[in-house]
Amino acid sequence: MSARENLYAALAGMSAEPSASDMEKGAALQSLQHRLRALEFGKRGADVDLFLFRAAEAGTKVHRCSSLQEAASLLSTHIGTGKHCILASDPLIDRMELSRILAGNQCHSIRVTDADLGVHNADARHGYAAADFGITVAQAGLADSGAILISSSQNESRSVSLLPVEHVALLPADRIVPSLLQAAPMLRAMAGDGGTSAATLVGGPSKTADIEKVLVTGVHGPAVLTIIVIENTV
Amino acid sequence: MTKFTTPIEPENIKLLIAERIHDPQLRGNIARATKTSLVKRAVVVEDFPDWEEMRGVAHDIKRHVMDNAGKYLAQFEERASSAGAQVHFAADAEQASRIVCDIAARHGRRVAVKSKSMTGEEIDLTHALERAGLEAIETDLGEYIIQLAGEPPSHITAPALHKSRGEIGQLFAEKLGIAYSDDPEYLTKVARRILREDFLRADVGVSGVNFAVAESGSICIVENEGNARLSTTMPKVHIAVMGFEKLLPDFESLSLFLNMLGRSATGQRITCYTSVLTGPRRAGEHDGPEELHIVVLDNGRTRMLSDPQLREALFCIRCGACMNVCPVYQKIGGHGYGSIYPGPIGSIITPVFRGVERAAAMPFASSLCGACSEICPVRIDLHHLLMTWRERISEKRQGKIAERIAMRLFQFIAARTAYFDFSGRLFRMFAPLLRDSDRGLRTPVWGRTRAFPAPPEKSFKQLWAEKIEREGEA
Repeated sequence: MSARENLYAALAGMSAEPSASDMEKGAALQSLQHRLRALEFGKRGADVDLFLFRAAEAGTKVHRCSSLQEAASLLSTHIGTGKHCILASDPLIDRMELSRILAGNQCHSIRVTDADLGVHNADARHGYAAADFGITVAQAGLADSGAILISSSQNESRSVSLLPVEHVALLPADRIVPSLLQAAPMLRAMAGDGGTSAATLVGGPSKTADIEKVLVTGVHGPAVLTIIVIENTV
Repeated sequence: MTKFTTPIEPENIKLLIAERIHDPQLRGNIARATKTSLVKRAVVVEDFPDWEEMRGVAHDIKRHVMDNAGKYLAQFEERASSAGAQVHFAADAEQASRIVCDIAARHGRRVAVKSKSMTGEEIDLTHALERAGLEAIETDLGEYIIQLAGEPPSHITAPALHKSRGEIGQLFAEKLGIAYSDDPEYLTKVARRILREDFLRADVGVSGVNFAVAESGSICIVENEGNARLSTTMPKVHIAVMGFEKLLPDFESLSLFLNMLGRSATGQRITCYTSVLTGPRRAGEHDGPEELHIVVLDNGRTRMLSDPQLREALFCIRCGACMNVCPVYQKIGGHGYGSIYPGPIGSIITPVFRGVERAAAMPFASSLCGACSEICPVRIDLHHLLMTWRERISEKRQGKIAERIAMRLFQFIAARTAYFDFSGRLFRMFAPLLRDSDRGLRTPVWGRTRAFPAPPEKSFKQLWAEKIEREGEA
């Protein structure tokens, strides 16, 4: 027998209740789900202030803007001149006219959609790795931890939030949910058909404490994570 | 830098402990690191007034999944396959390593970047890849440090915890040819620069799995540095190795476990990066691996599952909190146990993985204080499982005639009230002599470095009788 058949045969033979039907398994899971939902961690509010507080606590740089215009001018100042930027393709970024603003700052910017980053495309990869800023739009924010949810798609590569020195994420305030429990349905949808191969929760800048528990940021990923919460995106 | 000579194997545990217990530098390194983790954990666990109920729910979810392991594994395999992942099965370490090496061989057999994986350590994957002719590079900073040092990890989440910054500075100067510095920031930047190039040139990325979500066939990888994201994004092929006990039913369960893992491991509400990977790169995406292979490993786990007591050890989510809180671990560190799974949980699972003959001393390296059971986020009854092993090992053990005669004698006396009272009185009378004399009570390990405690003047029975008498009078 193959290793696969052996494993399944062994597992079938040793269930605590081998007679348990799929229906019983479903009922048991449902009762666990019920207890899980009664837990405190899923019952907090979708509080923007708490999100900002928790994110800052985790070492993320946070800003709060009331409009897209305000966010755009803040980003322009934040990035400065002569920088190399990579932008996700997102309606929000388009409406902020970031490409135009960055060009005005003598920044070199490319869109994620401009380059395939496959193994064969070494130049594009090194270009990403040399970038100062990767700018993306978050799918959700988790108030109780200050983390954001991002995902790989035709508009956003995995590398844009990974290779540059700084990752800037724009987060519309209405995408903030209380906790990871409320983001579970989003993760489910992302994993399904028409979804993504990679959904990632980002809870701060890349960091390590592997040397004497001393915190150092920017090990392998971005050394700086900046989140700009935008109240009104209309 | 202290140089220890005893090979780190479970059968050498007594020598390993003896070497380490007398090394103040090592004990200082471990004490500082474990204490930092515990303090940080305590703060963020306070977020939840119902932490105890969270532990209960987490425990019961794991129990439910293990009770239905075959069904959840089949669901996971089916969903992962339909998302385009290739699922492989391995009965033991050798099979798993061979599967990984064969895949790597098909893709040029050149460079593999590895992100931290205890399952990878369990099957000694890095060495297997090297033997197969690949350059296998550990990319987690702690793992990178110990790979340079040629040592196994000493903690499951902080593998280089036993080393001071000075020791790491010397190691980097020696192996990487840089100027000596003990600045963690500088040393980290050096590693970033070197490893960034490795990520960009690697053909294969190898990772572990923290959780496998049955409902979608997703694997979830938790980290802080970004090396796991890079290892699973940049190379053309991603190979993930997991034990089937990593299964969870759904994303709601995942959200609970992620809330507990970061807090218990490093005192973080959430780690910096939590990747949920479902199949390889999809049409239209710009990067990510073209192939995703998931290797599902048994390696003694079904044996553990069939054991009515030890099966609970499969609930472990590898947070390392039981090590941080363990008074024995705090003194001897991970290498003192001789196993890549050290501490309380390591002492329970290593006898299963490596054979009880080789690891028989591990369950005895514990004070049975129960701190591990109290801190475990999935409420594994760790110290009772250590007792279970002790009972089994003691029952089998022949010889030790003196011990058996002593226990018989105790059994005889303890069952007879008058004998028991009399022997107690004798003991209280003569114990002070033993205490004062040079000869002392030289029990093999314990008595050598300690004074014998003073006996009480009266027995509990006498005190109790006097109390009842006093209350009668009042």
